[in-house]
Amino acid sequence: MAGDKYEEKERFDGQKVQILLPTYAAGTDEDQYQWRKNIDAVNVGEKSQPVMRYLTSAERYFYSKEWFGSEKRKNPA
Amino acid sequence: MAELPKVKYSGKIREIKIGKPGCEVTVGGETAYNFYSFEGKTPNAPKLALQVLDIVPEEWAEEALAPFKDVLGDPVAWAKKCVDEYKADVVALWLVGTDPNGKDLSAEHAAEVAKKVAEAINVPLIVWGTSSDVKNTEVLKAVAESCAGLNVVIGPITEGNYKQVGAAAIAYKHTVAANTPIDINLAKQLNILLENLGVPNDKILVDPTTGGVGYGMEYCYSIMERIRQAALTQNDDKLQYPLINNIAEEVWKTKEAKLSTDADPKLGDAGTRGINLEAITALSALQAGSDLLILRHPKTLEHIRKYISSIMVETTLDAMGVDLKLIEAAAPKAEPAAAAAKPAAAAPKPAQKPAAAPAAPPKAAEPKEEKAPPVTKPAAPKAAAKPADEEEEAIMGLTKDDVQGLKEMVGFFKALKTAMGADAPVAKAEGPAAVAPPPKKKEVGPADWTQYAIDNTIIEGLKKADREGLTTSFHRARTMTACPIGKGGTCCKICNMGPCRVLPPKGRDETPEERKKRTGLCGATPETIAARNFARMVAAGAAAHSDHGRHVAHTFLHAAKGELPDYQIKDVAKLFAIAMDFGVPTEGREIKDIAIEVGEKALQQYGQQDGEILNIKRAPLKRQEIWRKEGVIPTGIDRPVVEVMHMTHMGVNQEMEHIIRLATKCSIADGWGGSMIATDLSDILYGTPVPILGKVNLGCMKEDTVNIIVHGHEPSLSEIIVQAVQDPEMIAYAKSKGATGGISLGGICCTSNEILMRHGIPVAGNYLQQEIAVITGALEAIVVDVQCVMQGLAELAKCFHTQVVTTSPIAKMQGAYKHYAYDERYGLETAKAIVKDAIDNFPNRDKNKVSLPTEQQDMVVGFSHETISYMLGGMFRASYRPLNDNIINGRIRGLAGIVGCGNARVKNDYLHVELAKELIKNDVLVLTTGCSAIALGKAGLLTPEASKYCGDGLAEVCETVGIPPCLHMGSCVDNSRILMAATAVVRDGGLGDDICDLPAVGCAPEWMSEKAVSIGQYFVASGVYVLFGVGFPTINEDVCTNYLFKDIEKTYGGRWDFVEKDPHEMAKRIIAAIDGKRKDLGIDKARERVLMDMAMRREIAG
Repeated sequence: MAGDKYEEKERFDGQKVQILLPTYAAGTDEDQYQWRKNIDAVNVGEKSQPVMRYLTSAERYFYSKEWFGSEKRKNPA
Repeated sequence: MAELPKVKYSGKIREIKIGKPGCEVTVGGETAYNFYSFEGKTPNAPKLALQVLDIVPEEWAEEALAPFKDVLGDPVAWAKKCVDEYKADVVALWLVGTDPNGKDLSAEHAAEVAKKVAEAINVPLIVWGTSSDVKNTEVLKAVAESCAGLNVVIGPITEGNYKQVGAAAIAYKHTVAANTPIDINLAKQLNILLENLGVPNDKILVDPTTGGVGYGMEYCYSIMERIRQAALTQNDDKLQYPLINNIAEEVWKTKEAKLSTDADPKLGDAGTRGINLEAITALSALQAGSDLLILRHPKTLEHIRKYISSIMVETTLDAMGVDLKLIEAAAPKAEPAAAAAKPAAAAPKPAQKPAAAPAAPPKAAEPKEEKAPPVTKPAAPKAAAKPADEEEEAIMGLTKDDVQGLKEMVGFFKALKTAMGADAPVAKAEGPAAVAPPPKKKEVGPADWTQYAIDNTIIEGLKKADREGLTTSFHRARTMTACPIGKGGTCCKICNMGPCRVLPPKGRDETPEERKKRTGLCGATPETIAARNFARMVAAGAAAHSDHGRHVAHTFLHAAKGELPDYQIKDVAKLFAIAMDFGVPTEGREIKDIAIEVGEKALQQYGQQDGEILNIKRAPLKRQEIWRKEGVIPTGIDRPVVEVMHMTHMGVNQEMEHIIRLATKCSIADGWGGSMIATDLSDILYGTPVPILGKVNLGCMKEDTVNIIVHGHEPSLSEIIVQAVQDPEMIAYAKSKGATGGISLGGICCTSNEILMRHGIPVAGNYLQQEIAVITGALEAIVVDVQCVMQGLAELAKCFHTQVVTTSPIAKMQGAYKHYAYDERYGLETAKAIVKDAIDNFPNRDKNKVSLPTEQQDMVVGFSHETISYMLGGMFRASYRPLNDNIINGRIRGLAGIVGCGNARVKNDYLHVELAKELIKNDVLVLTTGCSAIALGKAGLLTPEASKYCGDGLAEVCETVGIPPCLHMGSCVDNSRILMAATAVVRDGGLGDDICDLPAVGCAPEWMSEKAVSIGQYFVASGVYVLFGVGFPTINEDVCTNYLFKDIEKTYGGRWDFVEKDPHEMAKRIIAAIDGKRKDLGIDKARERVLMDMAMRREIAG
């Protein structure tokens, strides 16, 4: 693609090859990914509390009595 | 011989005649800086006036009274003596008897005395009033009338009375002395006002206000110098007036001028001390550009007369003995714009180059002679070597007595400086506290702005300001020294027995006895005073953030009730999360009902009087225990602010540690209370930030668009302005006015962070770019609300077409274009009115004044702590686990919050950017907010590509996750997001049980606002090591500073530190703090991997 940058390196058999350097998408405002809309998607069938499953398992897991968020934590913090 | 590189002057000072017909003298007329005879003309020697009083003087120094003992109380005889015996060029009649705080004599008395004096003398008369504008109006009008046709100089004329007194001056044909308080813009403004009133431009003198030497003379000097630069090199005709300085009163009222020899022998002989002080002040004023000096003592007049006589000599380079080769070698390669400015070192003034002066004494110009052309001194052949003394005496024709007098002055000054040594700041903090250097002597002359900012838009903007004769905060920072007593926390001004300053002795250790005696008048110790000052800063910062939060909560509640059609709930998931935090039931309830209850609970937090604020339970459990044990959990948000203001009132809390404890409680009410509410409810109302591509810098302003900038902190109006500028009707209207590109909206400061994260609106700049945006000449409106808005904007905007629109009910600005007390009920309506005003202003843009920067930088912003959690685990397993794992395995060394303001006292943005680069190079992940985030954005550190600056470990993580190494987390209230992110890391496990266990630090390298102190204190209270740059509020007081820098860590696990302005030293200390925590956690070195069998696993499981 236009704008891509390459670096010349030597292959094991001595042949010179062009290696593509890291590339980054330019990105536009339209690329903003509204991931929070996906919260509804993981709660199919729970119409009364569409977001609670995500909250209790992720952002507010620490209100749960069953676990402390990590296999490494034995006590609540 | 080569030629001296000469400055070209484009302007000339007006020549003004003062005095009655037949006795006129002329002042002004210079075409170069005073006495720069090698570059231009000074056709009229500066004139010297002696002061005469209308009454017998009170409290004058004995030495000042002595020459006039026989004429005191008789102003006419006094004036005649000044002229006949002491050869004054002008007499200055000071009507001190009319002072309303003194004898309060009538205007009629003043008019009569002035008339008698004016008629009795054959030199011009200056009639000077008192410090009361009101009384002066009455008195000077009467004087103008009684002295009709005698062309006296009447002053001081100020902004408060220029209309009345100016009108009288016009009517009776007098000259006015336009007085302003040491500010070039105000001086220019008053001249314009007088011109608009109709005062002829050959009847105005500029009095820029004078300070005596040792009492701010250097600041006055720099302002006078700037006025002259604008007049001569920038051809600013509004400043091309002669300068007058009332030296007499300013010098002789000082303690040093009045003290007897016995009272303080160190200061030398009282007989000559006052004269020396007056002479040095007068000499400085002459060098700065003065044309007319009011003096008190005849001896001073004699000294200054000799000086003027000797320096009013046109010289040649040969005569000066200047070695041009040296000049050429030393001269900086100045840019064209800077070339017109006053040369600082390359072209020494004649008086500064005495060593090679010619042997023959120069012929002096006669100062009494009007328009006497300077005598050209012939280039004398260099004389054979002379004894040093003889050669010195040949300098500019000074006699042995003169040289001896100068030597005495120097000796006196050294003694004075030693005696006043206690005024200089001394850093006594031990241990980790860095020493604050004494304030440097402020610079004058043209600036190399590349030394004051790293952003090219700022540098170019400041150069343009120089060309246009404008003053910005950068200019003021060069000439105003921060008060060394207030800066270090050792000034107590909480009662009217003070202010009391309690500085330690300079340059030596203090004995315990001295320390015991060093108290305020009430006996308050230095540590109590410093702690009280610190606590008040915390309270002010907490109040600012919390009131912002209250405003958001108020808007939120009314929006929830459906009363604000322009505001909607945008993030239901976050509403539910906050409902859980607040204990609001959600099961089976409508969203509206939940939102109303959340809004009510949020507002109730402010006035709550018992219990604990609700957000406390979001902190790690250990942290809560520490706070409970210390009694610093706030019952409500407002109460701790009031408590701090009360306990720091005179005679309340007088134990340093307890003062800091209550300040800590106040700061927690901010970080875990008001700020957190502001962030959370803004997220629900306007949307929780998610990563978005944004742009930063003034390149967002376009030539073909109506440019509007929102500036401040609260998002409620700016959110709606975003809607208004996107309205097709508004865009069409803008095009109809000639803005073919439509409307460009940008943001400055934290408002910009709010609308950037949620809408991708470009950031025009950070705090110190607000003035630069105006200076582009292409800004139609700057819409401001609260916090960090400079008052100087209003005056600056008047030089262009920019409208300054204030919008907060609590924040108006004198001189602003319009004020809206913004009411959310009429949100869109108000926003559209503001935008329409800006569009209507587009045709007023002066294309000749436009210079738009093109700089703009991409950045990825909007990393709320919810988003970080999502990015690290997705919907299935959102958590901070991968972050913790990478901290434990060492790819990420630690976390650093770089936050806070910009500060004009250091190279703008430099500390933020250099520190961030140094940290990411050492694998420290940076979390950033506020103006710091904008600085990092401009430097390209908020893009994934910035991983090229990272160490290998951090680069690997950033590339894997696809994040920049510096994560933009929002505005300054959004520092609460960093608290939540830190808490999430703790909860996820493996890095201790509390925030103080984490390898995490906070830093505000260029802080300036009180909010930063509150933020720093709530981070310390939360267990974080916090480092400040550019001064620390208590640094001149060792006990309080040692407590904050050391002992407080025993209680909270966090502490303060300070490095003045070295980003590499800052990074070194931050990394040391992080490594210390890693060592405590046992993750400072790689450990051998052990393959565990079932028995070992059972053992761990316990």
